[in-house]
Amino acid sequence: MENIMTIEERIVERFLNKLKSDQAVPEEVVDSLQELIKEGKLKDAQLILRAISEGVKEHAKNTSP
Amino acid sequence: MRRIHRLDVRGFRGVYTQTSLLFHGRSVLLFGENGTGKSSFVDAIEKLFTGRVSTLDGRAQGISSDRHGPHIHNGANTLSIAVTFDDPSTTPFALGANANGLPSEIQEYLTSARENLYILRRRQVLEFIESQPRDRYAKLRPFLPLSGVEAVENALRQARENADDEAQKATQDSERVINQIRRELGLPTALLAPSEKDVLAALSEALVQVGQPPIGQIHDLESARSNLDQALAPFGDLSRQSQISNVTRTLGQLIELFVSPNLPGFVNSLQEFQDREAREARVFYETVLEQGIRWIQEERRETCPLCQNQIKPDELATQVQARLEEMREIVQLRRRTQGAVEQTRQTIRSAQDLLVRLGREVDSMTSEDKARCLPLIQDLNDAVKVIWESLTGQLRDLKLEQIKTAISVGGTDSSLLKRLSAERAHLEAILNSLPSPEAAQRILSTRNLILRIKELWIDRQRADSRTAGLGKQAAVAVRLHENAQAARKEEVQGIYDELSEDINNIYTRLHPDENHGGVRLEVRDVGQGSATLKANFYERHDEDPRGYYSDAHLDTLGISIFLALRRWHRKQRTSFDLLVLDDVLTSVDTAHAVRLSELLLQEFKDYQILLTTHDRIWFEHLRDIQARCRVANNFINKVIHKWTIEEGPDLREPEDERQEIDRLISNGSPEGLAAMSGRLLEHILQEMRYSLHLSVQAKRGEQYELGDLWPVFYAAVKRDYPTLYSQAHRILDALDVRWPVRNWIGAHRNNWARNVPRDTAMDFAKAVRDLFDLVFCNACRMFIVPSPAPLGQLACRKGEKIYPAAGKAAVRPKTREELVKETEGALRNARLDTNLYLAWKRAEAGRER
Repeated sequence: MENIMTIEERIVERFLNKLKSDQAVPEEVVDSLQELIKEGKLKDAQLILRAISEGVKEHAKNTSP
Repeated sequence: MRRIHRLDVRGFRGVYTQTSLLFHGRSVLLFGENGTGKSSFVDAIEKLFTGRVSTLDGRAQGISSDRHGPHIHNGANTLSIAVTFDDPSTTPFALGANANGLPSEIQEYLTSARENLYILRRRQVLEFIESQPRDRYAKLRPFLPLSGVEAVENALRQARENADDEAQKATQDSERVINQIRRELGLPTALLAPSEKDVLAALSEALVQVGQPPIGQIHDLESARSNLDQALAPFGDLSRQSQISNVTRTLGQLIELFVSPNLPGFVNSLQEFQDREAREARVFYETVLEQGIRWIQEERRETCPLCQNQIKPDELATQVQARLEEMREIVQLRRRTQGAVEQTRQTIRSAQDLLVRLGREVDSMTSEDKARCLPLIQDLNDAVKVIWESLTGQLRDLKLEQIKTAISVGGTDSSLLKRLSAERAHLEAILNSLPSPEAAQRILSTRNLILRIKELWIDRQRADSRTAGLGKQAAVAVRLHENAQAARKEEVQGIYDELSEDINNIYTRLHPDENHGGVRLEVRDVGQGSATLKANFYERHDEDPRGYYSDAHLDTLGISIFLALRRWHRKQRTSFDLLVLDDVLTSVDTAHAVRLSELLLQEFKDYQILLTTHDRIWFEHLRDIQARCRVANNFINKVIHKWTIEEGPDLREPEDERQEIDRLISNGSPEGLAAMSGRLLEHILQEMRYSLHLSVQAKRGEQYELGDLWPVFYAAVKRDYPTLYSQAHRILDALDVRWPVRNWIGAHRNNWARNVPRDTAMDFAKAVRDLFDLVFCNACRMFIVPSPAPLGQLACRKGEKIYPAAGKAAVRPKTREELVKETEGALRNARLDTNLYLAWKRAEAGRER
């Protein structure tokens, strides 16, 4: 059966695609956000901040020589 | 999918007694002259499904459907509105009832109906076009179920703001450390942030002055300290001198902070701001003024949008502009004051940092020195805490007196500052009294400076690293928020594009071969929700249609937008098919109205439509279009015969009244018989008045009664329709004598008429019944009408009842479908003109003679 996405689902998908192609957003942050989306917790500013913070740190670790 | 079977209304708007509008699951075309209660049914549907009536609620102060919805004579008659769906097992859904017990598909229907996107009234046609972009978006909101996404966007915005706050705090911390370094080294404040090179140069200079080699990098600080320790070794134990020297220096820095000129400056600025804002707050409310003046100017209002009082728009606009100018000044003042407060907070934070350091330094002193200094440090800590607390909060909430008291502790005349200065002098005196040569003191001072800078440099590196990290996070948070906004706007624009395409399809069907259209809804770049409406007009593109379109074009554009929105809503709520158009056809000219009707009946034939009109010609015309579009069977065509305040709209079917007379003839009272017969006779005459074009003396409100209608009907039949008269003359002659019976005993209670015998009432009833049987066709379910040809013939539509013209054979009238087929396309661009039609008929009669 064809899976019809709602407008909101389409927006979230578009949002993620934009993040993935945005050089200014580390991959690690996108991964953390995806987790939050899966858990339905993207409406919590504190969790988002934590995801950004951890993602940025992780990215710095991963990219440091 | 469920459809409305019947709508029952009582005691609401123009409906007083219980009245039913029967749908039987089909569409209804409802004709009624102005003021006969058509819109009461539309209002009842809206009230029942949404709890409000948009033409009442929110229209003006004091007007509401709760207050103005009930019939003005409502008392004993309790308001009731109920709808029954076409599932016989379903209980009616009544106003105020809980839908929980109803079948799920009815509940689904009611949920969709609550969104109120299916009713268009004549006065609402331009509503969407005339709205501001934000209000337009609000009207589109039910089409855009985005509450979840908006919550995410808000969280992302919040995260962005929090990240930004954190980054700013880190920057401020970093700046404070830099200022401290600057103070320690006596570097000019003009130097933005002293670089490592600047610091090394200043330290090298100090080292050279005490005979030490300069240093080339920060890492050399430790070896410089070691060298200085070696240089101090010959002077013996100088630890007490070192401690006192450090404390003296820190105390000096604290004194500098407390006498800093930004404290009184900030107080003056805050005083000015609070005074000004308090003065303006009484008469000013920026948003109200800006919104209000926009309404007044754009809508060319001459009444206040808030209180509805008369206004002079130009004068008011000038006053509002002056107020807005004052507001702008206040905004600038607020910004300046905010800056001053922030600067003061920074000063206090620096003082807190110094006090922490002072605490450490005093802690390492001898117990005697420590005992002297600790009470002062405690008092300093308390004073700084009071100042800090007095500066916490929003600008308008800061307590000026509290701040003045708090900072007076640190003022040049304050006892605390005097104690601070005294303590510093005392420590300096101790230092001078201790055995240490001048050379040792200079080396000691340089050593302490090296130690402090080393510590501060580490603080700076930490602060810079934190600032950089938080800055990155803030930048990422900004990108997240921007990407979320862009994703929503792009998706919404996609929906707008789809919607715009449908609006254009409809509009182009209504205006073929006209060089305009290209309607486009756009999301604005700024703001969270908006819908800008643009359209083309000849070589002008993307213009606000209000700038170029005629009123008629704006009307059809408004209807096109509504229909496109309705269709969009249906895509999302497939099981909800109601569409209500209250007298909107007459807001457009004939040619466009014909196209609009065709479009409605063809493209919306799978909707349950309630279409009302106050125009009798249009009512007939729409019936033709129903036949032409082959949807006649989808429609029930209803006529409101009359309206009275006591009874409301009269929607009864004539056959029911006929049956009721039969029942009353066998066992009814004379009064009941007279009343019912009078009602049916009135019904017959109201219908024949239209079909025979009877000339009745005009009456205000078109409230014609038997006395107005009967004589002209009787005369017309006798004069123009001899065949009918010959068959009906006994009935007609009897009625000519008996019709007042209705007024004697059926409509009024006259004492003089109380002895009217039952036989008289029965004779009247039988005559009315027989007349009805002669002029009403049960097969067609309608009254006879003049045939288009030959002139003088009366017949029903199917030809079951024919009264031929004098001296002519009966001619079966053509069916509506046949007539329509013959005149296919002829009506498309026709302008219907009754006078022209009658003139043409007279000419035809002349030719026949």
